[in-house]
Amino acid sequence: MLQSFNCLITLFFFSLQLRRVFMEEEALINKKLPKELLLRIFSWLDVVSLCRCAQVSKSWNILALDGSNWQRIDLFDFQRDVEGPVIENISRRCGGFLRKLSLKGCQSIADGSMKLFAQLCNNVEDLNLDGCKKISDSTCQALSKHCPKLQRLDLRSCIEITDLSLKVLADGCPALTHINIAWCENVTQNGIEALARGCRKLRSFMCMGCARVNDSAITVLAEHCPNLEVVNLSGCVNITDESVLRLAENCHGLHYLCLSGCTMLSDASLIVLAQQCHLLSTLEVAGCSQFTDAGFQALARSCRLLEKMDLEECILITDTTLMHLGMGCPRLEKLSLSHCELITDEGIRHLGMSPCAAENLTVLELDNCPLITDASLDNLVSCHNLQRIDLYDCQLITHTGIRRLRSNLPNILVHAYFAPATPPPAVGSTRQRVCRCCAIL
Amino acid sequence: MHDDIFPAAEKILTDIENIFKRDKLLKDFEIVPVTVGENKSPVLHAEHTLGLQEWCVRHLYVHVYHKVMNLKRQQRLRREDPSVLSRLLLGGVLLNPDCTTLWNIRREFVVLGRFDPLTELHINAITLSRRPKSAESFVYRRWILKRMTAEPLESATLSSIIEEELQVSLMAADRYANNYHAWNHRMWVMSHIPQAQDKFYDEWTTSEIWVSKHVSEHSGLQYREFLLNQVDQHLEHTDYCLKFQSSLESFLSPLKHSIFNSDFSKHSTVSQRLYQSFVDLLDKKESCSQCPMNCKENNFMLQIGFLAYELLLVTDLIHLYPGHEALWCHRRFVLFCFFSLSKKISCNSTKESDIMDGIPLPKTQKLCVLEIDSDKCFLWWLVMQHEDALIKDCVIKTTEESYQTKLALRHEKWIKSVLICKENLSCRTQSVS
Repeated sequence: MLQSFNCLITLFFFSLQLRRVFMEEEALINKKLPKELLLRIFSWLDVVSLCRCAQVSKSWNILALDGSNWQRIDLFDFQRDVEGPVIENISRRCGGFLRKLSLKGCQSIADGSMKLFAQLCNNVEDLNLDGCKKISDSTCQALSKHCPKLQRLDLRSCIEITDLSLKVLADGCPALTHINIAWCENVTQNGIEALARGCRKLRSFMCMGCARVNDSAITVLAEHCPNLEVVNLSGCVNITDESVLRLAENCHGLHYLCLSGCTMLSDASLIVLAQQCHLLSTLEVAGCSQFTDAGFQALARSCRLLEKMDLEECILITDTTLMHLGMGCPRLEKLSLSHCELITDEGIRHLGMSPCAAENLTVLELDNCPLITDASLDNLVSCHNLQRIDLYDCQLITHTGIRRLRSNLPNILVHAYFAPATPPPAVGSTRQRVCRCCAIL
Repeated sequence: MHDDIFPAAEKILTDIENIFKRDKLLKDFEIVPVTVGENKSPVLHAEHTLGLQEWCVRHLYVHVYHKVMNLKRQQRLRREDPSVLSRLLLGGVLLNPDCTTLWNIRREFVVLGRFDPLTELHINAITLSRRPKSAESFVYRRWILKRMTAEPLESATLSSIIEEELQVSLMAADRYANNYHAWNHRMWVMSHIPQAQDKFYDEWTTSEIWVSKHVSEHSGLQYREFLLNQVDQHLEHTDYCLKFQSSLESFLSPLKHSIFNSDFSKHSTVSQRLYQSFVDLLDKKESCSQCPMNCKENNFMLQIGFLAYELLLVTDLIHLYPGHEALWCHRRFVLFCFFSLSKKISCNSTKESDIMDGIPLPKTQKLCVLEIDSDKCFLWWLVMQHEDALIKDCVIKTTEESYQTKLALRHEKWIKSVLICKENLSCRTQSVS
């Protein structure tokens, strides 16, 4: 691989320096290198470089635009220009070669061009349609009909999508492992159950903001897809402890779980997670206001791999939770305690003394914790890896405290409402210099 | 790079945006003079008013400006996360509504359908609450309105939009003296949204109240002149007549005491008829059952009614608040309207007045053509009676050096030199007693 990259660099060198040579019919580079090798080199280039190479000469144009170079296409950078015909041309040119296509944010893409795409690019494995708001069920029907190898599908913010899409995907794409239907608010229990029954290999399931998702949908999902590792149910307000129980019982490999905004959950969820899902590394439970110290104590004791925790607005937790997290989770990197108003300096002291703090802790969010004082900052001095700390609205924190923390941890980024120190005015210094000149003269 | 200087900027912008989302009735934005920052959100919110502490304004604007301009330079505006961009633009226009670039980016997103025009109007109104004289804000507002009214709208939405516009321009006029832009906007709304014409009489009354409170402001008076120019479009609304009866009567009162001695036979028929209806009105002879002014027969009655009302209003204001030149200027406009109307009447309605068509006269004509034979037109004679009385009154009541006297004499001179020759003004008055 390294060799190829070296080739690439030389190639760029040539293309810049020996532009004249390319003009001639039989350029040196074309004589020396066989087409297969050129094609091989091109396969390492990105979209922009390929398009540039395509403009060099007729033979290069054919080589650069060969379908085999276009297996992975991300059009995010060209977002604003991408219209339907572009997709149709790509589909025709790449055909079966195309494995991965990202159309993130291409809002003007509609069903017509996606149908043609599905017909021509049968081997697509990874398709990202994030934010393609015009896409509707008929795109999914075409995908289901023509693309059985589809593994990853991102339909985030495709607001037209309904249950029908999920049903046809379940029938036609059994290989699906990753699906994202965030903000598709028309999706209900029926669609998710059908999907779960058809795509048993699912590893990642994201449905942020699908408020119609309920316990029975998640139960069916958990029972049929035991391989689930990543689950995001944030904003699914109808979810109760029952769903978490089913997920924990069936999916032992779960390592990312987001339950933010599921306000009906109680400590029972945390306890069952602690019992069943020991691999959990990320847990986001912002706004789950019924969680208490007891739940987090159980969790901290058994889920020792936790790295990222978002406990924003878990208003009942106290210093005890921090003490247990400090002792039980040595890998903790990112911890958010925003709006946890009962947290005091004592809790931060426990956290600061724990093994995680010294080694791994990089981000700590303490905004809107009114009881925190400068003493907390002094306790965090030993956290060498701390890169960012949020202190918005902690009104007992002073400028001096922050300065002291900065002197110990020079690379830290402190987020607080304090105004930045104004840089010395540049105009004044130049004027002074002139005056000095005058004085010398 | 600028993130490092002031990391709280994004947080403050988010706070501001959240308040906009939460409070749909927000109506005011102010900068609160707090110069020393604490570790506390500088964004304040009370009674539908948004406040921002002064210490962060400079840093915040620098952050927004650099970020937006960098994105623009790299042509990455459309690719940027819409939520980040919308709060940057919101903060930007709040802090500096005179920055055209920010408004232009907003325009771009409105065209793309990412920003909602009604929300835009709300945000714009709030920027105007702090900077009521921002021309850029008004231009943007008109642009949005033009876009919105280009498509057919429900009449309820449209009338609420008109209501809102009138309120916004009034708020801006109240907050900043001599706010030409605000009144200009009001005129634009009245003339570009056809449905706004239904509000004509309401505007007539509300602007009267405003003008009586702000006697030195020509921009408000100018709006009233704009309304006066539109009167002839509203002559079919005979229900206005009753409202002008009393003012018309007092306008005609000189007829009771003086003789208009000229030969009637010389008059045009229109003029004769008008004279007859005036006399009828004074004698309380009701020729038509509902309308005492008999305006169905005589179109000019209502127009004279409006002008008479305005003339008397200005007279009252001049007496109440001596020494305001704007009032005298406005009076000249009213006189000019009377002048062209009497010319129209005396020349018979077939011969249209050539003065008020909007076509500028050749320079030599401008001053001398404006003569009228007051022998022939009693309407002009009536007006001159009022002018004479006012000038005399002002000169007698106040001392010779006072500003009011100066203005009165200047007014007399203007009438003599521009509208009519000297003899006509002085010799036409003969007291009965």
